[in-house]
Amino acid sequence: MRDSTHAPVWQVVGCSVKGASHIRNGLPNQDAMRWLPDGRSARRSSFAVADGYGSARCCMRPRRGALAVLAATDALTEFADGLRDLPSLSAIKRAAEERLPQEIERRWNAAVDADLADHPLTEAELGRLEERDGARSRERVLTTPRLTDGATLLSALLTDAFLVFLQLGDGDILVVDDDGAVSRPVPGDSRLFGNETTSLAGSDAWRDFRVGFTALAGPPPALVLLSTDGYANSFRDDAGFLQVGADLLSLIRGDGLAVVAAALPTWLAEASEAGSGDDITLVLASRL
Amino acid sequence: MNQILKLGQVVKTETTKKDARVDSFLGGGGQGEVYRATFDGAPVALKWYFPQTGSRDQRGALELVVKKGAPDSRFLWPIELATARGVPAFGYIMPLRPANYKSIVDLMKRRAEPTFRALATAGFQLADSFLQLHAKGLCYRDISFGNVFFDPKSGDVLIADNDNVGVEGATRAGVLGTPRFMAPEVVRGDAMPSTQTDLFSLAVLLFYMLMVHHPLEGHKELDIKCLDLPAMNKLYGTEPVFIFDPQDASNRPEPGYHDNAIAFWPIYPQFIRDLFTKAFTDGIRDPQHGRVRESEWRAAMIRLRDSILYCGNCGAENFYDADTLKASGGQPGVCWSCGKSLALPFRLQVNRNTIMLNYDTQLYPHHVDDNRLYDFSAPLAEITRHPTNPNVWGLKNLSSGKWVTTTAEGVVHDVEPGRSVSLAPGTRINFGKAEGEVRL
Repeated sequence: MRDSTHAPVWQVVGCSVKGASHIRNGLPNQDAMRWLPDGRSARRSSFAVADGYGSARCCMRPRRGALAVLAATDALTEFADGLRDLPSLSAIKRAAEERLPQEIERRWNAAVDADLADHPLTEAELGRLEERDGARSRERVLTTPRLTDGATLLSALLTDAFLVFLQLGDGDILVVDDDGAVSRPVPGDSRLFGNETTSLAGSDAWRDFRVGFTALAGPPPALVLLSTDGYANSFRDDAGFLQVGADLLSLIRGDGLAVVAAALPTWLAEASEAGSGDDITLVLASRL
Repeated sequence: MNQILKLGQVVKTETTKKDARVDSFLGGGGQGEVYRATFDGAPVALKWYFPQTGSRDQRGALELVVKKGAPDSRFLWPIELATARGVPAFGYIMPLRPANYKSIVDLMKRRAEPTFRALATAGFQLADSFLQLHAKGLCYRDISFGNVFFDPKSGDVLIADNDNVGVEGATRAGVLGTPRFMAPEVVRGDAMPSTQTDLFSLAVLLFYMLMVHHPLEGHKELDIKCLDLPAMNKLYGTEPVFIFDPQDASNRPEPGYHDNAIAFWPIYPQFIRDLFTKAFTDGIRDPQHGRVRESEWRAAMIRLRDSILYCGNCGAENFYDADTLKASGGQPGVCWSCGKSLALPFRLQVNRNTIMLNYDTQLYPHHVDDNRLYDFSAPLAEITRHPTNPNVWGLKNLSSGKWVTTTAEGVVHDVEPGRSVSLAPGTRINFGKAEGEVRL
């Protein structure tokens, strides 16, 4: 571990805006975000964003995104709490890859089951589903109610010795260095194409998680960003989107994190209006 | 992201004093970072340690590993140490893993779907390579699916992360990895990693490859949270129970959670299930004498390859299981995939080997001579189809020697190299060192 006097301290801020098309169609914001610890800077931080998406099978339960970020941030925090007993960064990396995806999925499933027990599928929902997708979809959902909704999920754990990133489905995780260089710490997934995405829904979603692990040997990143796909989809190309990382770092250094955080609702709403029309959620962790 | 080495940077090897130029960043781990580099005009992998992990101990261990040399070509073995001016710690170069080799993690995540033949081949190669490693007085200490790669088409294996290899009996500290692949006595802290503990990890890895599941993760695992170390130590160290332990049903796989184990276990022949049962019952109770040796795994994986037959209805690979066949009065059972009755192909009984004679079967030297090493580079025989009568199958002599065959009726023929013998029940084939019989 690093010398504690030089350990990075992180401050997390974020914003989630309802998409322009969702406003027009009277739909709720299906995104969610969460970070721990909440509201103060810390040497360790876990945070997540999720897009509770509406697929063909969905009955549109807006809480799914919230359940996903809850599962991820709690699992990451518990993971970090247990690290005292692990002998090396190699062991931590392996434990993160082997256990975290399954643990997050397990928590998500438990939360969805509890939610379905409290709010069972209604005949009206099932009727709408059957009308839209046919009787087989209705049967499938009755057999496996968890299939009603899904969520894409992006999460990060930042510590003084390493960074862990987990991504399931679309959306973006960006890391910005002190010199403004932007990179993606999680490998790509060729299965994400057009509107097709992997997600927390159904069984064995843990297999689809992509995990990135970075041991902090050199300077820690200056900024880490998680965003749902609505943000990147509002840009003409990937280069334009990546530039956001460097621009935000520059603004934070110039005006301060609080000013940037206060401006996010306007910026993201404008991005959705002019771009994707989708909900947009952005969480950023700035090194103080 | 900030990396230790910059693209284009040149590092110098310590023995040959040659330059290696960094081409691209391949990935980071807990100990360091791996780059693609150019050395002597050829691409290589270059691992560089973090300052905190590039210790004097690590350097010493690495120098020994380089000096010992690779046990066989399947090890991506360190070739030379390297240093760079102004860069802390050190690194080493090793062969680059070709892109067609996938991680076992990809198998677990179903991103690779190898055939049973490829899996059995990979299992054989792993057991064979660890036998070679142990024969050099070395132990791997950290066998897990993170450091084994295989070609899903051929089953060819590559073993990475060899910088943690140690001399058997040395007390160099550094228990690596998570408990899941460690022998229970290492998890408990009662023993240091050794060839004996490698054998347990090898059995876990083989089980994982064949069943796509961990042999100790059953009912008891469901109560474990994300990183509950005491509970994990219990599961893998103090109270390990094999999920198919015939005497202890307390840790059976649970439907809905451990479906791979439930689905795959009955597909394999009894001799494979018996060997895994030994590895995870006797092998846990008696680490010194109860473990399955590399040579036993090697022979079992070869036998498993030879047991494969194809379903005539759906084409799925199934296994010939002499034990089950006896128990069912000669009924071959049904295909695990489509549920239709299986029809057994011709099979060749030679020495202790039973080889299914499928359309793609080939025989190798070890099949017909117990004293020959496993060598799959040049088949001695292969199944062929009659050029004009597709209902007639034959075994073609690809060797340089003559075979002598005797039909069930007692008619004797010579089969010169390049010629074939028709497959018919009762035909005996003298290969020189051994005689086989075709059965149906």
